[in-house]
Amino acid sequence: MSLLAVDGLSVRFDTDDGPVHAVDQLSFTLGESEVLGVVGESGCGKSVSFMSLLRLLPETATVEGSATFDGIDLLRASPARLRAIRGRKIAFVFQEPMTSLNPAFKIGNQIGEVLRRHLDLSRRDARRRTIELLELVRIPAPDQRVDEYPHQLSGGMRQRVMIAMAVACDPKILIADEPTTALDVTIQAGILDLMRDIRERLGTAIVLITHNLGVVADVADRVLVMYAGRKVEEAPVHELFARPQHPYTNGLLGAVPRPGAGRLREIPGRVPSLAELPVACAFAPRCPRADQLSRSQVPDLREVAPQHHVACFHPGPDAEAAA
Amino acid sequence: MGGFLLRKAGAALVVVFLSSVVVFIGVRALPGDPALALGAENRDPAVLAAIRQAYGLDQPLPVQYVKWASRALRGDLGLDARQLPVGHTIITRIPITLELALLAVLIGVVIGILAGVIAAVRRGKLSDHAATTSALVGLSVPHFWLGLMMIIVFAVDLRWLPASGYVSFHEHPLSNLEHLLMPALVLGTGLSAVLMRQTRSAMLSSLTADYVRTARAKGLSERSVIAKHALRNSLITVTTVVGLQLGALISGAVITEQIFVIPGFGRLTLEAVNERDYTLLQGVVLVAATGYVVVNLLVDVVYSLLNPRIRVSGSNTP
Repeated sequence: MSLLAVDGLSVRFDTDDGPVHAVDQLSFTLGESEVLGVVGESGCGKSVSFMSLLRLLPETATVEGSATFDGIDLLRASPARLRAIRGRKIAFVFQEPMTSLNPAFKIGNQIGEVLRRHLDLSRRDARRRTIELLELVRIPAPDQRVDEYPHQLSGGMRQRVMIAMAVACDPKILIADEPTTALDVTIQAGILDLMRDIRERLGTAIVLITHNLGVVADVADRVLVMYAGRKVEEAPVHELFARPQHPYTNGLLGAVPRPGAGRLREIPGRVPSLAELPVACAFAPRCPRADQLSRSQVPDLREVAPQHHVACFHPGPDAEAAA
Repeated sequence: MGGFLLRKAGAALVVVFLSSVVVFIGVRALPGDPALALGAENRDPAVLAAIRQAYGLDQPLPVQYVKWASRALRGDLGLDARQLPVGHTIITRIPITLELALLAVLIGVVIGILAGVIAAVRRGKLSDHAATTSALVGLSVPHFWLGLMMIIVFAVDLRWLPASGYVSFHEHPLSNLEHLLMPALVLGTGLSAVLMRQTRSAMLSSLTADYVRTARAKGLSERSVIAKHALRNSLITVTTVVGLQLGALISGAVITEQIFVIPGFGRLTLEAVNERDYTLLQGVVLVAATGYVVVNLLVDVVYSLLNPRIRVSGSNTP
């Protein structure tokens, strides 16, 4: 029984230049304590998909499909019911720790706010618990930091504060949207370590949205690859790295630096515009394997190995990479 | 925080000094000989010379300034044309204007910020258009016209409120409010219009900020997202505007008090100018300038309380 089941999720933005189909027919599940890595280029709909689950998108977005969590369809739940889930059962860590914290309030206030809202803690208890949380995310001198403002903290510390805020109410699911992208490489490892630690200690399921396959290899159990608003491949992490099927996944893996692997290969071309729904494989214009079939039909997802799904007419590892 | 305040206060002192010089020179640069004004009908040169000597007008300007400034520092602003102490006259008039201004600011802030928040939250809807349009009208309508219209409607036609005059709070609190309500509305209208526009635009930008999304993701109610997270950051810019608008409030008080015949500081200023009572004028303008500086100092303090980044990295601010 999965913790979260998303079925046929589509997100459309109505802009002045017409509709933009950011996410198209996305389905996936998330198990208890599972770490799901979601990868793809910027603008492929990773962040939008997950923000749409908690209905955090602006009003210009139209969301279709269903997202069942705890017997509730998140996309149709009443605002009050949704607010009881946000921050309590499903929590978010956003990409930009610099701007995601409110500059006008002490971090203790901002973390304590979640505790008081959902757990009904008194001011004093919330403060005590906040200090414990800061300790959990390994912020030194938490009893002093609790009274500081975001601008007094470094980027890495702010992201730790965001994580502390997210895990404050011991959520079932933690959605981390590019949690390390804005940070120094040395800080990144620490944050990833922390996420692993949280999963082990609190049993939280984690969705890790990233464009960095190294990060995914490091912490994820299962990987979902997205391209142009659609899922193109999904597999357990070892399976995906050992036997990548979709040419896009192959391309992503080829773009990861490895010692002795020679020149990095880039994926030619650009991410397509999402103005129209595709009538063919969206990756075809950039794909070395594309043929008449890929240019005239949208490939369906099919299972090529246990738990390994791919949406491609010509799946398989790259000849070069295999060689 | 202490260092920040000290720096600000130091800067304020410099401004007060400079404005006292400007006031002093400005009054003397006005056309007309103060001795002639003081002498009234009497044009006898001997009398005029005596007046000049009595008021120290025959001495060089720097000497006059130092004498005046050193007395002013001790709270002595000299005697006006009627031989009444200027300091005392000002002190009796200030509370009236202060009360009027306070009411006007209260009205302006409450209406302006509330309307601005509603307009931003309901952007593009009917209430937004209504608020934006009324703000434009509020900004365009001159004080004197609005004042006269209100007198016609509320005092003459409806007879709800007195048309003019002033009753002190000690005498009759209710009557005091009745007399000040219309003037305060007139004075507060412009302020509320400016604040509404500022609040609206500040709220529009903070409502799309990442930290507001974080607040929503925490499960906070929409009220707390707007009233706490978005508004607090918007108030930082709004406070600055309030400070800037207080100068306009002082000049607005001159006109408003004239229309509603309120014996306040603004009316006193006009009296001093009309009667060419230069000691009084000098005192009035000095007090107004000092008041303005003090109010701006207070605004800086409020600003730093709202914006922690200013407080701690105070060295970034001049």
